[in-house]
Amino acid sequence: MRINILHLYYDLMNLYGGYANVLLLSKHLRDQGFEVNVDKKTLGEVINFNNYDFIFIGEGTERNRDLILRDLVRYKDDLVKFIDENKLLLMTGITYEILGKAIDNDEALGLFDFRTISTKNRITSDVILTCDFLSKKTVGFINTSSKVTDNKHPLFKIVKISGESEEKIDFVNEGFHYKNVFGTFITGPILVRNPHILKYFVDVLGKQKMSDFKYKEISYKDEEDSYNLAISELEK
Amino acid sequence: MFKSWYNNKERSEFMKVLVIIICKIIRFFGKLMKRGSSLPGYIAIKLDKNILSKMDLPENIIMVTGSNGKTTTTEMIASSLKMNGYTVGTNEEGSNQIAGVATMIINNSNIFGKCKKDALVIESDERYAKDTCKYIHPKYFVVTNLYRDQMTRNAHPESVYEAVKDAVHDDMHLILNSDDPLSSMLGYNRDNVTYVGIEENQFSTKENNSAYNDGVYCPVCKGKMKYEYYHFSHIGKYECTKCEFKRANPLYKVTDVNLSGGYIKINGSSTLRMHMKGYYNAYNLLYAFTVLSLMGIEEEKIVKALDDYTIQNDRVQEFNLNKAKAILLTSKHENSINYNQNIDYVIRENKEFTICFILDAISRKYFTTDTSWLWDIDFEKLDNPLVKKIVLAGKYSPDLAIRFNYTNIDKDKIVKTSDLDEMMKILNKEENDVYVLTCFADRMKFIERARK
Repeated sequence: MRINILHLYYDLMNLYGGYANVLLLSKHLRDQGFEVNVDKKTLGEVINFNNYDFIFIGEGTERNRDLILRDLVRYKDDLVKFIDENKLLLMTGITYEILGKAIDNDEALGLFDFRTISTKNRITSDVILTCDFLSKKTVGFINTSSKVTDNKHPLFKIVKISGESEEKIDFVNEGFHYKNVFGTFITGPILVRNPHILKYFVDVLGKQKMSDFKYKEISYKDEEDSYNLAISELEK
Repeated sequence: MFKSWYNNKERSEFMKVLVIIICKIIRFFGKLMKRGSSLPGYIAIKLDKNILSKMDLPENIIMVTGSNGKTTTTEMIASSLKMNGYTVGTNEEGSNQIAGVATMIINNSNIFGKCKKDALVIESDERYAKDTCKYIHPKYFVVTNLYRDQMTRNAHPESVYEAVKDAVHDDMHLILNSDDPLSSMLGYNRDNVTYVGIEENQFSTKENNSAYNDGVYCPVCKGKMKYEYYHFSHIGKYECTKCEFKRANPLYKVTDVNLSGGYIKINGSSTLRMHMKGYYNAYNLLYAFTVLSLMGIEEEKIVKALDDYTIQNDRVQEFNLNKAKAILLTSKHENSINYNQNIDYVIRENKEFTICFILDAISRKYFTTDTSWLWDIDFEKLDNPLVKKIVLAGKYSPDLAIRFNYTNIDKDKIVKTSDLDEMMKILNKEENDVYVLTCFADRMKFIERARK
């Protein structure tokens, strides 16, 4: 059984080692017995959304976010269909902002009601987050100068902040979650740092391919050690 | 009433003298207590935010900023100027924001605000150069490069670029690296710029096989760029396929790089000794040479001064292990280009080796557990028969291990341990030379154990 992954805008939205999400997810899916195919596409290329089970778009600069927004407009209907079919979409960093109504005064894709406002105030901090469908805490790093408002579908709740911007983070709800769309300001390798989210993704993809899919427990010691270390450091 | 008091010129002059005296007193006691050198300047600015613009400064002010190489470049310029008879004021490493600069300037001035030095050589943090440049416009402004660096704190290079741009004023002469697209954009459609660069040489490649490529899109218009060659990462000769932006023709250029012989040639004639064999050091020498040359110092005198310069920082140090030698290459965590250059250096030595990475603390300056920058480092280059063993050590060795799990490197070559004493035991058994790569935050942990 084959799972098709699209790493979209791989050469533009490439900050913070986000590509590692695709590496680990592919490896873990193979370990569960799937065949995995990864395509990489960028600006101006033909994208057939029907071909993919999972799309990942990593984090980029504000200018690059605006570029991909303009590029994706042509595929707005395909993207809506992709989302409605419960397919899995992960966007890290400021990227998910393109799905909202507007970024400052410019129109965004308008798939959802939230809006993004740019500020002069950059937030950089390690965070611990929780969400209702994961039993374990999530660790990550936030680096943004945007503010998202009118978001009816947050993904996480921030439960702890450590770092430079401890006082500056004035929101509790973080990220965006609707069906199988996951957007978060958490930068880069969120699946590398959080084995439980990686497992959740493998499970969702597995079940979409095979209704009787059962996750086979496999130990990834380094990944678990890294997660436990981050949690213990952040909870100090 | 307060306003008229403040506007009074004599009062203002009196205030200036008072602030300078206070600053000098704090500095004096600070020195006695071996305290940091930013506090006096910080207080001076709190008392009078315009204090820096009231100082009577020399014409020759050189500011050096950028992601990599600013400390060494600053030291080289300051030292070479001294050898050429200039009296020089320069800030200490780490005191490179406005408060540190103010401390240094006041320290080098009399109580009336007259600076006693012929030249000031200022190292500046790239994000905060704009604060200092609000009050002082350096005559020469060197930007070494703008790379991915400490992104957990600095954010991405484009945002750092915006901050540096705010530091640039029309009357400043820019010295820019034509090989780096982003930082050289500061000179795009601007006069008063001198470009420097390294010409194509035996180390140049046609392909960029790095973990990421920040040169795919033009920083000006975001069109696709094409490269004639790369020196490393996205540094090389580029041209936008959509707009006019391209690598500027450098006025000062390295025409020959000889790493094994340890020298470079500038403009075909001046031969300069490399104090450190890393490729990056060619750039540091080039910036220093350029500044002195622009100041009108003769070529031979510059060469002599740079030759006599002894490197202040000890980023390369040797230690004896039980059976072999350990070479410590101090690297910058959260800076992939710096790591890549150290890895390149080790491979170019062309001898079998063991390499050890220590990741125990991520930063000495701030707290983070983010190790995403490991994915930006070209560890794949260690998939090389010269590599006999790879030791991953320190608290964050699991993060290193994950990164290495996703390379093609033979797993049998990799050993990992969180315990640094255990690491020393492993290293002491090595018969090959061991290169130890770690950062300022962690290197003492190695040095103390290696000296035992």
